[in-house]
Amino acid sequence: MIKLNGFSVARRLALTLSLCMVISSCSETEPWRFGFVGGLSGRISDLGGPARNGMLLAVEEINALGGIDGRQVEAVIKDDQQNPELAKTAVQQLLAQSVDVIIGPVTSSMAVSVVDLANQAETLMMGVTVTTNDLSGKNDFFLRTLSATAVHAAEVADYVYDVLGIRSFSVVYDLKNKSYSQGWANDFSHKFKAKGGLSKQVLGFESGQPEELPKIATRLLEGGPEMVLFVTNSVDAALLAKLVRSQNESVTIGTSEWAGTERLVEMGGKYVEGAIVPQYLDRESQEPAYLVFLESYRKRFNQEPGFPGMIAYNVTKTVISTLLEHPNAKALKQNILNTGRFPSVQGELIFDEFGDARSKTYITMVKDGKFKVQVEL
Amino acid sequence: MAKYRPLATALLRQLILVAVVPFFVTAAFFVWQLYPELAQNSADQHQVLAKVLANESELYIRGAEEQIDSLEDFLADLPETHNDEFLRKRLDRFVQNSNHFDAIYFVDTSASITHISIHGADQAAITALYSGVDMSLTPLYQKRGKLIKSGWSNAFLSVVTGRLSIAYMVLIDSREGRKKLVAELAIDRLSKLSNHLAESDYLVMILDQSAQLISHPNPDFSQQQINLSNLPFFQKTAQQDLASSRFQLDGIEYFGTVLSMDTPRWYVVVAQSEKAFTASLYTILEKWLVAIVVAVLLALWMAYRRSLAFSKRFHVLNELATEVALGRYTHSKLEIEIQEFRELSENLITMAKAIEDRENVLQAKEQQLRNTLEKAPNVAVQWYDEFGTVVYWNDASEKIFGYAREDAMGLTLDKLMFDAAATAKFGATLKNVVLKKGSDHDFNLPFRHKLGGKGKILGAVFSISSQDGKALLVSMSTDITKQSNAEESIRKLNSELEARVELRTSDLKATNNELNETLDTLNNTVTQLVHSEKLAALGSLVAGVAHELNTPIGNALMAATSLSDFARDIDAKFRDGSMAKSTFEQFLSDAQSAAGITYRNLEKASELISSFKHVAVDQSSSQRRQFHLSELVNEVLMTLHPQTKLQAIDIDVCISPYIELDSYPGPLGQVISNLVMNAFVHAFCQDERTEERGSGEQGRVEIHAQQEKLQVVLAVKDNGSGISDDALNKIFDPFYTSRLGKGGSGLGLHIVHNIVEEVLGGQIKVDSKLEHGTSFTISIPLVSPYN
Repeated sequence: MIKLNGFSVARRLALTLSLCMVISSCSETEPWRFGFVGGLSGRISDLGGPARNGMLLAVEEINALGGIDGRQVEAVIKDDQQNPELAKTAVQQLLAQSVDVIIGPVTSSMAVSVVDLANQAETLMMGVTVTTNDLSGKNDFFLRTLSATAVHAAEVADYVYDVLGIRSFSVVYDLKNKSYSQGWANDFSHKFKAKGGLSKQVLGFESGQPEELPKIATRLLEGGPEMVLFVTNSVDAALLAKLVRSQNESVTIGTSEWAGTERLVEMGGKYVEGAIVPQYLDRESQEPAYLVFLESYRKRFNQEPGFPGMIAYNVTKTVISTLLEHPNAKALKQNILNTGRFPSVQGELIFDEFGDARSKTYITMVKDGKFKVQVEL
Repeated sequence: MAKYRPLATALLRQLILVAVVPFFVTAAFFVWQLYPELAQNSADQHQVLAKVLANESELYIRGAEEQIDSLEDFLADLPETHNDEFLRKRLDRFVQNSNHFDAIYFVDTSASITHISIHGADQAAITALYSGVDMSLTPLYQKRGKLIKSGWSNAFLSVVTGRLSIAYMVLIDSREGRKKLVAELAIDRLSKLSNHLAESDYLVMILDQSAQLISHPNPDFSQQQINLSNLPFFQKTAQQDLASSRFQLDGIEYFGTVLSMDTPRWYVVVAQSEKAFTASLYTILEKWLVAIVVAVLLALWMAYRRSLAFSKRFHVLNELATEVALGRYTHSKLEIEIQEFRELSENLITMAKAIEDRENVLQAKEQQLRNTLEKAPNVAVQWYDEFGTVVYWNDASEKIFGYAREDAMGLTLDKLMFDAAATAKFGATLKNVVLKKGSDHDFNLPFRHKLGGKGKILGAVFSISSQDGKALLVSMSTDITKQSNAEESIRKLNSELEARVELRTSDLKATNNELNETLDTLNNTVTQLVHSEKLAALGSLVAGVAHELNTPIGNALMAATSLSDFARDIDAKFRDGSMAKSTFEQFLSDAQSAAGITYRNLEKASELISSFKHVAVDQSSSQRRQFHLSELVNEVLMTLHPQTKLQAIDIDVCISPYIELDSYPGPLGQVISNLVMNAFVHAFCQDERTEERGSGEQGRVEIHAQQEKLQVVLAVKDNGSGISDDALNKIFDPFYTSRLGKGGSGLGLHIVHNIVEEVLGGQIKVDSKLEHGTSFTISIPLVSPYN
């Protein structure tokens, strides 16, 4: 055995280091992994895309500041294409990569199908635009970052009845996002009827078969409701708006928050003018934080963030700020709940002990191709 | 304390370093030089590929455009009589057959859709659905008031297909006004393009103007509206059309090049996963690593072997050295190739030889010393320890004391040749030496020979250092028995001697007196003889003078007589009146001549007398005066003339008239006289003297003198028969003569010698060679000493 003197050892070290350089990827410190799951393609992509972008923006911002606890954050993006099976696969893949947290899904139906996986893996899942009642009040690994559908839908019902003075409605909802859409339709209907309103038609349909839509539009107008409500994605809502408007110029058109993205206006064009669209965010907010966020988002992605972008951003920032204080992925959920209140670009994000947040509803109306806030609820 | 390593290890370490250095050098080279170069190469390749792919993409796009353009042409050429039905069918056929487009429709001036056909959908159904859809807020109509007239739009969510699409629009003039012909192309189609364009490990993406991904090999990605404006090279592309950098997408690191297309103003990204990119490097690296590791291992093994082999050499040398150390000197030359080792081994052997020689010499010397001690015949040498025990006993000790070495070793001397007293004294001496008490290291002790005889020894003790540090005392002694006895006798004789001496002394005194008397007598005799010699000389001188005088006086007498006769004659003639003038003239001349003769001869006689007077006076007295040497010599010669004139020998005198002496002219004159007469008498034989010499030279006596400072050197030389060497020693002795019986007294030169030395205070030397001549040289001071 040859003993090496100090000089030799130094050379050995140099060797190792140079080899390291040569082979390049000396393993850096393990980065944090934030998983994302959401519908990134197809009809739903106007939720998933901005949501992902909002998360990315938050991640890129913190990475630029040096990461969390000296470690960079890596975003692992998965597309569920609004398909429950694909959603499950996506989440499993994320869990296999030992993500520290999952941001998403972006629709309630997807959330419902994957929440068990998160619970089993004891990995925190922060829903983005998920409002289903089904996941309320549960002490599980899913945190709902918006008020439950029940809350929002009821508030819309109040507005429609009280402010707009509408007494009858028809509603169509997308069966592919049943846990949200059906819940919303029911909650609205319930509240509306409780107030004394009438429900004319309550229709379910499967999104993705646009040739069916004309029939649906016709049926919706049967009974002459004062208002038709689309609890659908923005594409379907735009088409329905056109179809309905073509047949009836006076009926009030409304959607759920789900369709309230810029795409609705893009695609709906003149047909959605005057539509009532509730929002999770105040699009006309002048809060500096919001403006800064808007600016950054637009600059980065060359589009509007909409509510999905904003919510995903807020949610991701919440996770980041918690980790900055307690860099421990395992205790993340507990730390978030312990902290409870988090600043967001509009107001605050507040969780109750079950991890359910409360959010506001902003009723807007489409005017000149823009969402104009009517009232804040 | 320094650690000692075996040579093999030290060498091995050094060699390892040597072996390993190239590794580091190449590694460094690889890292700092090669890798960036390869990266650059790759980037360059990317760029080339990107350009090509961009071209292809453009071509694809052009292809799609051309389809629409040709359709547009076709439609433009349509006569206006053709109705909607025709138009619809045409559109339908187009879209069903198109491999590019998913939907095609017209948008009228109010931005509503008319005449729509969707790939794979029933036209009737969709017309009902989509006809009238308001496109004014879509990206087909850009915000900020600017209308897109024609060309490609950015990606947008299409209401008619529900898919992320891009649309190509052309403007068509019709009777209803300016219409847009819009052809929608689902983004995921472009994925095919990506797939088609991409090579195995290359990723080709197309991004629209706002850096939104519209084409990716994975169609899902294409749909996800992924915005890549944050990627590093988009920062760069603002400045240039081509940029390369690293980026991360979906968790994979890429190295890519982005190239902007002209129309539409999209971007083509050609990327290679870092892994693939580095794979090529890795293969090189692997190969290199393998090669270098093999080389290093080989080198190490060789180093190991070489070190061992090398150190073996030293073993051999070591052994040689060990042999030398052990005293085995004979070795043949070691067969080693390395020059220095060979030299070293040769030197070792030489050294061994030298050591051997020196040892031999030392041994020989030691042996000599030993022999000196051993064989010294009369010096008993023993070594004692401090207790007086014998540890060495030489031969002489055996002889002197009678005890053999074996008997004496290990015993103290009281058991050998000393009695108690002697032993004690000897012991004390030993102690003194041990304690270094100065000079008390001699001893003189009686001993008893083994066989009983008594004797004495004289010796000394000194200490030498022994090898173990203990005192080792050496005793060297000689047997002085005989001497001792002799001393005794001498002492006895000594006491008798005094009386004997007394006796002898008185005898000697008497004899001495006798001798003294005899000596006095002798001296008197000599003085008398000298005196008589003087008288004799004086006598001969007088005789000579008389003889000499005789002649001139006789002549003068004769002349005077003649003159008297002449006078008588003339008188007679005068008287008788027969004096003729001529007779009177004759008488005058005769009278003058006779007078002249008389005068000259009387003058000569007077001179002679005066000279003789001088000589006589001088010779009879030893008065001191100043005189010229030349005058004296002449005077002397004159006195000798009577004798010298008889002989045909020249006398040359060469004396400067300026030499003046303050001396005794008498004695000096006698000296000269004796020397000259000696020459005449002894140097030349009878015949020569009286006649001309028959052979050769004329007999000559030379007298010359020169002044040398305060001395005058006078030489009297002759070229006569010379004096033999043994005679030369004796000539100055009194009564030495070669003419014994012939009238010589033998005192002449003795007197000369005495006078020169004692009276004149000078020296006389004689040189002579038989048959050649004799030369007496006298050196005397100008001023003789006063006595």
